[in-house]
Amino acid sequence: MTKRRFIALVTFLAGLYYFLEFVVPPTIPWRTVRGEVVSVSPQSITLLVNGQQQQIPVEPTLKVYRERPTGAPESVEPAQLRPGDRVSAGPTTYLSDWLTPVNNFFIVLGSMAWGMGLISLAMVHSGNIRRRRPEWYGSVVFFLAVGGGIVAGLGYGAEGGWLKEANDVVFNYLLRPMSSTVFSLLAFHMATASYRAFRVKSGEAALMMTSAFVVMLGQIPIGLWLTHGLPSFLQLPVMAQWVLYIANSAAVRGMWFGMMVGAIAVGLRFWLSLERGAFFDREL
Amino acid sequence: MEWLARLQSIDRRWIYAAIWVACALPFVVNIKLPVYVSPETRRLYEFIEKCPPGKVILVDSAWDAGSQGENWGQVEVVFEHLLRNRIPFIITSVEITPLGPQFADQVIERLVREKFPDRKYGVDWVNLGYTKGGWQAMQQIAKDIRQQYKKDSRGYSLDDAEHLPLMQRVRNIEDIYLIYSVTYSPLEDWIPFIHGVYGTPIAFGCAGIQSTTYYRYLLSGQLVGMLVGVRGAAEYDALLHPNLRDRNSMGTKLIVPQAFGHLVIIVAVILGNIGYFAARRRRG
Repeated sequence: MTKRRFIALVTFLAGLYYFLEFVVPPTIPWRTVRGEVVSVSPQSITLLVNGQQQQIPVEPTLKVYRERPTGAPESVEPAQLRPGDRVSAGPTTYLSDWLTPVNNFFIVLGSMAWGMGLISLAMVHSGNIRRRRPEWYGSVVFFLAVGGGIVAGLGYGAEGGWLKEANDVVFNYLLRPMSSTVFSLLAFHMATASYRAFRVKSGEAALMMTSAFVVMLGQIPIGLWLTHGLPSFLQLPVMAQWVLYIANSAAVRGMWFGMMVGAIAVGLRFWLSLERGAFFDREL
Repeated sequence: MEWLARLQSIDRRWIYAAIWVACALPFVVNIKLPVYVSPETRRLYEFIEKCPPGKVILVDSAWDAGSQGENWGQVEVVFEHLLRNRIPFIITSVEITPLGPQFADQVIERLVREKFPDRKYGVDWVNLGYTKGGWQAMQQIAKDIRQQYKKDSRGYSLDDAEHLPLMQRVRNIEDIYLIYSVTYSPLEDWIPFIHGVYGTPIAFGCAGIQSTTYYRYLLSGQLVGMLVGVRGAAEYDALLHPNLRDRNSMGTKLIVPQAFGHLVIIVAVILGNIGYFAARRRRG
């Protein structure tokens, strides 16, 4: 129960930090001054605000944001300012100051998932080998592949030597053809699946097939060759563009709108640790 | 009518064989087909053409063997464009696959060997390798690239002016003209966390099947361009080399088997439907 509460608390605080960092301005709004830099000294910054010069003392809590050409703010030290820069300066609210360490924390946490995945796989496969489960030799291949991959990975970027050769063998002559082969199987499955499943049984199916043919032919040079003599709006590539840009975008926008509303609800449930399911009901 | 009805139950192995022959034939017979250049490809090409001096392009090359059929050609043509126009670029792979930078290296190695022998690593391009972290990593790249990467993929410090002179003028998002993310399904986080905050233009290179979800960003101007599957790569090659005989990129080579593959699928679906209607008529 304590672990569960601890995880819920950490999850809530992490979510709260990013939420507050997003909504709270990086400097206290009523003490923030916006203007154009006139001069900078180690003790103060002189700004031109509404036609009048105003001195801002340089204190440890002062945060200065320079306006980039794109309009986005860039955090800078007072010494980096030049006359003419558009800036806003004020006492920090501290939240944005912590963004880099908090981001680093989550990047490190995410990286640990790789290690945890490897440990988990190693535990499963070592168990298979110890207990001589059916096809346990596949688990031996797993350890050999991981070991070989790690050693070969050390040869990445090497100028020469056996490590580079090992890297070339593993990545160019094993991984590349194997991954490509698995992926290319999709072409065969898609062809037979569309042959077996795509039947014009209704008006909607006919519409879908027509648009599919237009897009498929419009994507390849043969579509252009077949219709190049027609007026441009009747050429297959142009019709395919209309389907993709207009009809498709309208449908995708509607779909994503619904999905994102659902994602907000799920996100809130995760944040407040209200989610229940395969792992969340278990006592940790 | 009996034989027509049988068209809806062709043995799937015939479909496999037809796809195999259709995809293999262009590798035996040298065929090059003219392509229609879509607006999303043209916009990316024209945007890169306008890159001002002093700016760099960040290429998020997060693909590996699984999707190399589509992504290889997409980075190849853009790298060729950048090397030809001497636009410096930085390669990384954010979150998706650690193999991305290694594949990008192979593409560049071939281009440099065959077309641009005078281009130098560290001056014309830098490979920063893989980084984990998703949107947190993107935020840090934007704020200060050295927060996210201490060394490049070859182990040189980013402050090493002798080996990486290019990195001495790259600090943060302000120095980046365009972010071009190439992978099976690019991370949409580039749009809210980078384009939304800093206004930096984003372009995608994605698998054809994934492209339907990104067209809406082209309409809203949140993507400046997009290369869609093999077609996008072939179209970009057509812009780089207006003369068909000069084109020899992976995209131009692979659009031919794709065209024949699409034709086989369309013919198979039509045959299946002829069989379906014949069977229905026979049943009355």
